Amino acid sequence: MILQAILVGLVAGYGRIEQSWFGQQMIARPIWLCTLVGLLLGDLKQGVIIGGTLELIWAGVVQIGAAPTEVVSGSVLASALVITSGLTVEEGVALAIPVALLASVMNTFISSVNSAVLSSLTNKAVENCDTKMIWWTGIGGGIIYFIVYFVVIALGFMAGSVAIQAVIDSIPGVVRYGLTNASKLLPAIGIGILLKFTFDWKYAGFFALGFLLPTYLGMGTMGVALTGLVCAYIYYQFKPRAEEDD
Amino acid sequence: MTNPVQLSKKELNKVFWRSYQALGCYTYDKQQGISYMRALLPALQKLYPDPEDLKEALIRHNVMFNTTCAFVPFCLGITCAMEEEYANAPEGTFDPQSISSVKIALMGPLAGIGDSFFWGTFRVIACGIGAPLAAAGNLLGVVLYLLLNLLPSTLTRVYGFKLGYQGGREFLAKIQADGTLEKVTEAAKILGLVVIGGLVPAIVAVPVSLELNMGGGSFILADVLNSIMPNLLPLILSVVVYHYIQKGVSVNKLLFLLLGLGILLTAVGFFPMG
Repeated sequence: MILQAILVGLVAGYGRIEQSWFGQQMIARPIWLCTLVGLLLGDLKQGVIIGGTLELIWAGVVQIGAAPTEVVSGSVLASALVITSGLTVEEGVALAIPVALLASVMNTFISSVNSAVLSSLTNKAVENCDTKMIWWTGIGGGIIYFIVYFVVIALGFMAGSVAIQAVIDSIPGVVRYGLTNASKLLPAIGIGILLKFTFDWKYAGFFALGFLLPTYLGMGTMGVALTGLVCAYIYYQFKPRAEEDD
Repeated sequence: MTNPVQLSKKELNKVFWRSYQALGCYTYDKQQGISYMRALLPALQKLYPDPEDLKEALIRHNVMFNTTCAFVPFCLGITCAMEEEYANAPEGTFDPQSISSVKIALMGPLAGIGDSFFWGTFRVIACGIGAPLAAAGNLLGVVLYLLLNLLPSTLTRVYGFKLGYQGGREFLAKIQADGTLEKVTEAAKILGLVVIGGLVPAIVAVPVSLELNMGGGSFILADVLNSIMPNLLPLILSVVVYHYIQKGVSVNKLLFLLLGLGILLTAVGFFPMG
């Protein structure tokens, strides 16, 4: 039990600092973290299933810039509880969502503290030409995140396998089903963030095209992405470079 | 300075590996800036043995920096090349200010391209292929997901760093001057928008279950909406959320609002119970 909690905490800590120390390669995601949890807790297959399921639900929740939405703690805790305490995958998913919300509040808090402390330490180090200190502050954010995630998720897991079932049962149906329904609305926020970075009325037609292909032709995500590549290619070939414009 | 100071493979490798910690210290004021400086340390220490020169270089790099992580090595490569040039230039012939201005000029366009490619395209394709397989219990889905993300990002890092160090500045100045960079950025935006448009029906759902019986005929809201246009509500919801994000409403606030909305609409019977 303690060992399991430590392993779950380690995966959560790793998941949070993947972006800090391992280059943010888009793999601190349910599909990979839940698989790790499954592997470490001895039920790889369940881990893979809940990972794929959560990945589909959270496909649009992305961490661009300082957006605080996060998928790590929900993924890790939910998959660990599904594997060890017999929750169904659906119950695990329903649990992951409030956990993720709480974690994003926690995240914002840690980031603020981090910002203040590490920035001033770095300024002092530059003043003293202290390269050792810069070595530490430059990765320091990751250390703090790792510790907080390790502790919080490990404790959550230990409390969870005994208590979380009771907590879930005690939630009134309206709230429980309401949260499940709301979880289907939430990916709209991911879409909104992505649009913020890319939307331009000049290119609105391409957004519409992407929307209409699955809506009326039933095209899958893969087909849409490839169509997007084709559009980008055509645009690139036919748009004259600025200097060729008259 | 009589002998030219050259960066060897050893320092360059160290800088490259430290690029992976570009978000190691994300602060609200400097974003990736502190970690960028940390990555440069091996090169700076080699180039400036005199503590006074080193301090000057550190002050130069203790500033805000932010771009897509996979493009950080490219920027680091260029900065290394420019610092090397500066360290060897005779007094007064090279303005160190240009090192900072190139950094700043790079980060915006690269972030625009990078977010479309890495968040908007490779990750989405990887998810589209990998997640359904994984959800069905197939480990291959996870493997494919990892490969489709790691391969493009690793290649971009390795070749980006090389290209940046060996004349990336000239290359970039050239494609910026002849308009290629702008075209690539716009093409990437178009790709991103098609993908995002396709994501709306794929991941957003508004689960209306309202049914009314009116004198024998039943009114099923979902069917009525479907006959106007399928996926109409997810589209409206996404556009409304985008509108509020654009207006500066915080993501956390929107999260709680949507959660409240979900519970409320379930309570009044608009959304299903069970």
